[in-house]
Amino acid sequence: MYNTKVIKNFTSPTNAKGMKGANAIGKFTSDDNCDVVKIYIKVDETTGIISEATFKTFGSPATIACSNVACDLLVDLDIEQAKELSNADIIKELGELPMDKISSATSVENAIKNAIEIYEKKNM
Amino acid sequence: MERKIYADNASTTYVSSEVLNEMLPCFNTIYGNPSSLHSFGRDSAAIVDRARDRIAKAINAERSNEIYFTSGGTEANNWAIRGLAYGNRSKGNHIITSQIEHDSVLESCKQLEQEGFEVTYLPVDKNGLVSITDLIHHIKPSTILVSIMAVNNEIGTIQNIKTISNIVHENGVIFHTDAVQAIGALKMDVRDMEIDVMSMSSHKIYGPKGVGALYIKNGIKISPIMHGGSQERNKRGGTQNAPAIAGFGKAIEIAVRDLVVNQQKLKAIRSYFLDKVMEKIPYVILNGHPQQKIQGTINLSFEMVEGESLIMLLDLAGIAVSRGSACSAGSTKPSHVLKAIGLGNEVAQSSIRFSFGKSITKEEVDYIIEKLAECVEKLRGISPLTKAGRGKKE
Repeated sequence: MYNTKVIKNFTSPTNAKGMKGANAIGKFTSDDNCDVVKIYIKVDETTGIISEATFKTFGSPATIACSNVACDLLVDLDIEQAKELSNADIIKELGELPMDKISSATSVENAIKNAIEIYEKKNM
Repeated sequence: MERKIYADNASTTYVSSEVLNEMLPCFNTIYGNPSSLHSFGRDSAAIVDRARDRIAKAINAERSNEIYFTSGGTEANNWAIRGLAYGNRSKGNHIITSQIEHDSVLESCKQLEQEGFEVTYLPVDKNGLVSITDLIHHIKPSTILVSIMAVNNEIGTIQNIKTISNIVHENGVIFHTDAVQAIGALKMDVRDMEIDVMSMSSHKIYGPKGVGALYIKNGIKISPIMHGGSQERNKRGGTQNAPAIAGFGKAIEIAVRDLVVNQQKLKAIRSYFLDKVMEKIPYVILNGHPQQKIQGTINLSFEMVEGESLIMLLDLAGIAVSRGSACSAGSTKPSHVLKAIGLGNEVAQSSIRFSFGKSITKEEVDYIIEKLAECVEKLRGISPLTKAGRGKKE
């Protein structure tokens, strides 16, 4: 059902933890598949670049794997670049996802967008 | 060697050696078409008739000709719902069923709604029981069929079938029950329980896949839905799957023979498993009726842990369990059964089903409990619904 990269990111997620001193915590709860995804981001105050991203996820193996690779993708992006990170980018990083699991990547994308929205509101 | 434990017997079982031995000659020795006039055909027909006799005896049917073979439980349910609706349309167009039926019943009912039938989907209480008062309240002059499953496939709750059939018959209505999960777990006596039509499946009771049966009490009007052959007394066209039918006949005979001993073993396993799980893992909810349930099926919600992820981690540890129904395992939606018993989305999504079979050992159960505790702890550690992974709600 899942490729080895998805399984690896599901069973050994390197970014699965909370974060002390996060600049923003985004959350998305899906009515569709009951995913709950929390994304924590730390942004370098001087450069505006994301220096660290972690997650906590209640969801399928696909959602956990998407959360983990999305955190990897977020690091070293500036806020404008992070805004552009899409579900397709996350799936591309994983290689592939079953058709009925595309919503997993969308849940993660939405949690990231929420984190950025919160960050921008705080820093306006 | 990698360890593998199967705890998904409500999805399907292995074919027992006694059953397999019964089937083998039908593949290359007694292989005629049971409808053929020659001796090869007559020999196969004798095998099919023997299986029919065994099934009739197992469920205490009055006559063997009340057993009709199908391709499985899903076809049996489709035939029962649609065939009874079409066959009795002149009397009315109202059908009553419950919200927790198998999809093969629910989807057949939805199809009938498209065709002008009216369907009432009775709710169930928190334990999964249909309310008798509710049933009485909904029966009306146009009601032609009541279909309530004997045992739910996801939570194992046993309905009050005899009481329900009494009420249904007092109102002159036909009663069908889906007994796919009940056969082998309960004594199903169609005469004592006053069942008019009953669906059965072979592969839940150590028989082969691809075969089931519908018990239709003589005198009940039902239309065929499989046309193009005179098999099964002109009611279900298609060459009978003689090897599978032979296996089904043997499987149900064994299921009845070993019913008490199997259930005693499963009762002990269930009790041991639940005690240990509750002792080792916090925030676990047992779904289904606490007493009125079959022994082999245990549905648990591990709060704050998503069910599919838990199933996958257990699978990687060599343990096979499932969500409620294998037929909808790919679905991302919470189970309709768990929603019907009142679970919220997150708790429903946190549920998995353990269904133990007759070969399970205490040592295997210990391994399952050990791995289960580890997997739940791991997933709670990364759940946003937990506090620092300690199984406490935020």
